[in-house]
Amino acid sequence: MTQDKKTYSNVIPVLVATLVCDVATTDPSTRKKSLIGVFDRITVGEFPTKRPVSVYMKVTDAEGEYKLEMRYIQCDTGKLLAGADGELHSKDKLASIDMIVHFPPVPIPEEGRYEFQIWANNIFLGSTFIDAILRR
Amino acid sequence: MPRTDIKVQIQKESQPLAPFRDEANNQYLIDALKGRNYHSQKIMTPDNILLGTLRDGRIRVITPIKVNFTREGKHVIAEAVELDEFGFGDNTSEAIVDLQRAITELYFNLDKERSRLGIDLKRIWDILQEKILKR
Repeated sequence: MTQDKKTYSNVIPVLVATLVCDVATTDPSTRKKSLIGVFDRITVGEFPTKRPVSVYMKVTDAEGEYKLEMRYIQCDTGKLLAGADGELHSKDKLASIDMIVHFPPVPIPEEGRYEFQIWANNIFLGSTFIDAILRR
Repeated sequence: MPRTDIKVQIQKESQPLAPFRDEANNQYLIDALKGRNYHSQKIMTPDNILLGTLRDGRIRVITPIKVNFTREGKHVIAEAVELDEFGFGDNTSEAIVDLQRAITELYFNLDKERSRLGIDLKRIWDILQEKILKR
């Protein structure tokens, strides 16, 4: 049995931007990303609820192999509600790399703040949040 | 805890993909939502993390900063053990942000006074220089 042993990079990438939106697409010919409906707050009629979201992120100063992870956390309780795993390979440290993660409907159990945290090789790079507010 | 794993293979110059690895996982997420009591206030705090950012464009972290968490009542304390710095907040996220501010402030204060630091602060400044780079 062979095992895929990867050497992960010690260089910490810089998270340049991260945004939550309704829809995100990539033009197949130009690789340009389009974000539709960028938001950081949602008004909810009734909890619990769920909502599909896309998260756009852009990193730079990355060099080598990275194990990427996005964690969707309820801030008040620290509960991990959803997550996405991926890998990043960058040969050019000066280049910037952007990507989109499409989440299925993520749970929004109650009013409060929810965070999308970005981790590379188990190092915390940054986060973005959405606030869920009860419609009154 | 429902967890949806989405395998994303991200390669530079290739189209990022985020297909659902398993539709059943998504259904599990929805089912769990329907049957779950989300009013439980059990607080989950990680024991420690490696911090790779200070949320300040003037500096960047080149070696991760070890952060330990402790909970005191309703508050979370984030401690950068090597730097003797603390951040406080109502949850882990707030404590991290507060710690990031504290470390940044420490860095620039020590940078300003670096010619006349005592032994302890000189030691802290040396550690900061190993971990943080001014742009």
